[in-house]
Amino acid sequence: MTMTLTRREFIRNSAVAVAANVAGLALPASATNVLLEGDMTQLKWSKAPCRFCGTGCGVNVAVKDGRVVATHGDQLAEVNRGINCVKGYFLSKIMYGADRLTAPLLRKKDGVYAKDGTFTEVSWDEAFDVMAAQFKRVLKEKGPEYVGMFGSGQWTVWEGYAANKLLKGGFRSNTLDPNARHCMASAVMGFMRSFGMDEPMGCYDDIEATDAFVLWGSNMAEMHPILWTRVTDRRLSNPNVKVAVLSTFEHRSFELADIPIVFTPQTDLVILNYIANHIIQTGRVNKDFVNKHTTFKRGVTDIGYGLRPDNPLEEKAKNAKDPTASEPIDFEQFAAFVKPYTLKKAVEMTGVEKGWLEKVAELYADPNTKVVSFWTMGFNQHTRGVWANNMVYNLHLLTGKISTPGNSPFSLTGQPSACGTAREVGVFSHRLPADMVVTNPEHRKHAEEIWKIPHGIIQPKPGYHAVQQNRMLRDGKINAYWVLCNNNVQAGANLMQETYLGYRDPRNFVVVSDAYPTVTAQSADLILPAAMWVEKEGAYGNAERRTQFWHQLVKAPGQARSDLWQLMEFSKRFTTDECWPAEILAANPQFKGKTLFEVLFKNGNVDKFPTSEMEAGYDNDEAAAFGFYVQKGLFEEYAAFGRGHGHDLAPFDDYHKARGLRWPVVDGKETRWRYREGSDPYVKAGTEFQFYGNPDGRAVIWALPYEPPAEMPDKEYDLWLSTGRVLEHWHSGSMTMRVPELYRAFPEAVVFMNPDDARSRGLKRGDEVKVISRRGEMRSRVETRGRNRPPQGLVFVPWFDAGQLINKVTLDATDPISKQTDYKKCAVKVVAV
Amino acid sequence: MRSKPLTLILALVILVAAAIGFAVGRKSAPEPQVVTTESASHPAVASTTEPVAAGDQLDGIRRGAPVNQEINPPLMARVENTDVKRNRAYPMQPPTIPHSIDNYQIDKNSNRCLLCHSRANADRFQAPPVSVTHYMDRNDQFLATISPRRYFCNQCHVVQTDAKPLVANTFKDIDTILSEEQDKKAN
Amino acid sequence: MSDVHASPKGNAMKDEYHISSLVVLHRPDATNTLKAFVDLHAALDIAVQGECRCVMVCETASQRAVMDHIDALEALPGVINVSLIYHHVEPRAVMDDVVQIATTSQGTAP
Repeated sequence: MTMTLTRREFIRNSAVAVAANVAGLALPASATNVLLEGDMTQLKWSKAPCRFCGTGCGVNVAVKDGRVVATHGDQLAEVNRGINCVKGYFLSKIMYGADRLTAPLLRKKDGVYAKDGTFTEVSWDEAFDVMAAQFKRVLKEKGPEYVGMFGSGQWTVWEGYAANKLLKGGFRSNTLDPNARHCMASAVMGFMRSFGMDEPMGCYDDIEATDAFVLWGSNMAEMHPILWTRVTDRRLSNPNVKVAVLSTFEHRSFELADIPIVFTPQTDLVILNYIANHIIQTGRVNKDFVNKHTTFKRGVTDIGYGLRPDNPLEEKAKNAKDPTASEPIDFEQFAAFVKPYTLKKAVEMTGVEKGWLEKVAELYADPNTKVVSFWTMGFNQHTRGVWANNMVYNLHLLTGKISTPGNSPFSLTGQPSACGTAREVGVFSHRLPADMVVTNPEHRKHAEEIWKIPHGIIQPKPGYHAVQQNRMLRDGKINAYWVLCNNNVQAGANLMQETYLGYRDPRNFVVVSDAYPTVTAQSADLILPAAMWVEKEGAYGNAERRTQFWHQLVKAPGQARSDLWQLMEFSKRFTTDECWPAEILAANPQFKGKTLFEVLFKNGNVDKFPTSEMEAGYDNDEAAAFGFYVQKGLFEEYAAFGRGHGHDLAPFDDYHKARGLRWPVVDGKETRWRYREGSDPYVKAGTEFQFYGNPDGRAVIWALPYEPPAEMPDKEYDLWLSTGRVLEHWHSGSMTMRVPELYRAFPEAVVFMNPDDARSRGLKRGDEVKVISRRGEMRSRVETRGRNRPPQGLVFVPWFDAGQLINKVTLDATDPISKQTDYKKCAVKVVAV
Repeated sequence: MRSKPLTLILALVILVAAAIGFAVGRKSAPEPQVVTTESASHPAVASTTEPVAAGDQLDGIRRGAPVNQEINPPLMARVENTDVKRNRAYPMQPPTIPHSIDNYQIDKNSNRCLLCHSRANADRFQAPPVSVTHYMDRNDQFLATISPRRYFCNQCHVVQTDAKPLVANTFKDIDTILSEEQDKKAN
Repeated sequence: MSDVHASPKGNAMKDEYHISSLVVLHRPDATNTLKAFVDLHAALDIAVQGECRCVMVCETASQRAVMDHIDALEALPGVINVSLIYHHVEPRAVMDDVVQIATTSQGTAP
């Protein structure tokens, strides 16, 4: 049957349907005097968080006939209130790249798996048979430490949690790390060392309450566009508000800067100590706050660069073995420590004009100016990234500008669930949920109790972290390896000397689960097709501790399955006898002969909720496959780790109703500012502030110096290379490069270069060049105009383009404490082709 | 009577224009040109232990080149500068910019885009004025001028180059789905 | 359709047709006031009425007129807030073009 409408009526119908969704009003046919018939009104709109960055914008997703047909910014989402960035507006297209993986692909020769075989479509059964045989071979012949997994800050909360259980509680390997190691590890260690507890104390509400923003190595205009709209709103609506932007090159965020600062790479450490010194020298220390709520420590220095141990830089470094060591000091010792960081010294080392340095220092020092510090990869991807994090906390602690509205040191995140999944669930090689660690026997015991597995299953030694995983693959120390929901062949530094050799080493069996055929997938031996975003029920946690849920809205194409299904289904192929030591099984005979699926996922917790508890009207392919409400069971078991310990999560069902809630959620109330009496239920009355992550309730002010980077330009490799993102593409571009509008907006990577540097090399805009480092080279073209304007001596290359793998060039030096790679500094030369 | 030859000429002009566009178009048929890495001149560059089968180059973004080899980067794509409005897949999608924005100054003191697109000036410059939604602040209050949260236009509105997508996209808009449904019912 | 609120000066683009939808938050006892207001203004229609909120459609010849209507609505007693949710402009000439739409057997929205 068809009906006839005029164009006008058609548009009216759309307008009403969208508004009714926002208002939460149903569209009963009788309740209206406008035309509401026709299928336009039968679009089903549901909420979901955006798939991309850690801002965590809310979107509404329209579904028709099993396909996503439209998305728009959710008016009711507190984070973005109705607007999206250009990527968010094109979310509806990310699942429809023509090359979606729809069946498992195994490298085969003569009908059987072969490392040098050709990708051949196989069934899930055959894929898992071959994969299980390989994993069992490695477990038996080499042991659990030869099994590894590389996960993701884009995993849903329950996917990260299921992976943590499978690796640490099933296979007994702690070699599980997320790609969040590349972006958030320094922030985590910064929080742990200063506050004893991960994640920001403040929230995005600080933006509307502050007097000044200081961006430390963060290009929010491109990387966190919606937060930038809030910063812009605050700045342009209030002329007295100031914005300081600090970076090693000029970028779009400078368009709003009152205080623009381009400094010599690595000398952010100098600026930080200069500001601390300025606060002390001008008598603006908040003594009352410092006396009551802080302690002082001096960290060891000369800690190396996280390179392979036989690297001369590591052999030379005095404290490379124990980079976290420290000794307690007092305020006077701290003041003496930062005293040499004078304005004069800062000007000399940073190359920044005196006036700008004084201005940014005054933002912190002036007791009447509220300050929000924002940082992202400029701080975190830094061989002294943990120090930089600690040192910016110093500034907020010395002045007491913390945990109150508008006073907020705020570490932004790059992935949608770097906080919610990677950090809170503890998907790191040394962590367990809720900030616990594998090295602590009490923590292990607690986790084993919640998981209902015998004591002694979780290994006490941390596994290999992300960078180490690539080195161990190359060295043949990880032989069975599963990569899910990330693109590490494009992301991991030093591709040609480390990553690629490891993936293609015949000793290793590498499995990659992804929605698209990335360069990582094509470097693997087995590719598993993954469901993505609203093809599964999910939960993400954003940068302000906001946990957000969404329902499965459409089916995944072909045989693609969610990572959650893959992890749980694979666990059915292993028994405890194959994975656990005989003596533990002898002491706990009830576990003998059970599959890992039975002990980990049919343990009475995870399978506790029947499928009848699911909200009507939505598919749930995992629940259908396993026969219970998998997501709810995993979430409720996981939440047991944090409830009552400062990480309280609300009951599962609440999140399907709310537009996210910021933990700790106590008595149904979310927490906006932690550690302050009155706003954080964990702070005792009469204490004003309590940094309860540390046993003494005090935050730590750290005395840490400037130390040089791992590699600096010299005569031959005469330029700094910094890498990063662009607005239109998200991370490695595997989704956004497949959206035509985003692709055509920024189709390929270029080398952003100062026009004088180009001229002195005989280059002009558009010329083909090689970017060469000691590790490898990449071909690209010169760009001397546009959004990024590097100073002389520095080039910037974005990494979204699989056609131009800049990680062939980058250096795999890491922060020795956080093990996070420094993607912002290495030495290269640029030559004409 | 006169309209017939005119139509013919018009069609011819379009054909010629299309042909020229095709000829000068950037990598109309993306021919990947793989260059071998000169490993001899560069000791640090590692090579793999095995040959890579051609059929295994799955990632279309690499234009057929194996991970461990380099490709000639395509010529820089040119920004389309036709001033012709493009279709949108759904009403909430921000329109793409149909002209070049090279050297547009946008900072806290001046916004080149709004010179033409602001409500006050749009008529004079024959530019589409920004939507009224852009006058609403975070608290849904209407302002006399554009909302500061919408100030930086290129956070949502982007130019389009002449680059041809390397991977197709099968997204279908609501109109397509509805008409498919109708076709199905008609059969 | 007459557009009583469009000011002569602000009505520069005369061949445009603006269709917007608004969500109006109001006190429960303001329903009649709103209804009376809408009856007086041909540009406005109440599409869905809830207990303390309603969806309105607003059809005007200019952007200025949309905003004038919103201002007028906000000034009504009992109205708490007016949000513009959807705004679409097309040439007036295509408004009466016919579009065919397939309906499912259920006919109306769930």
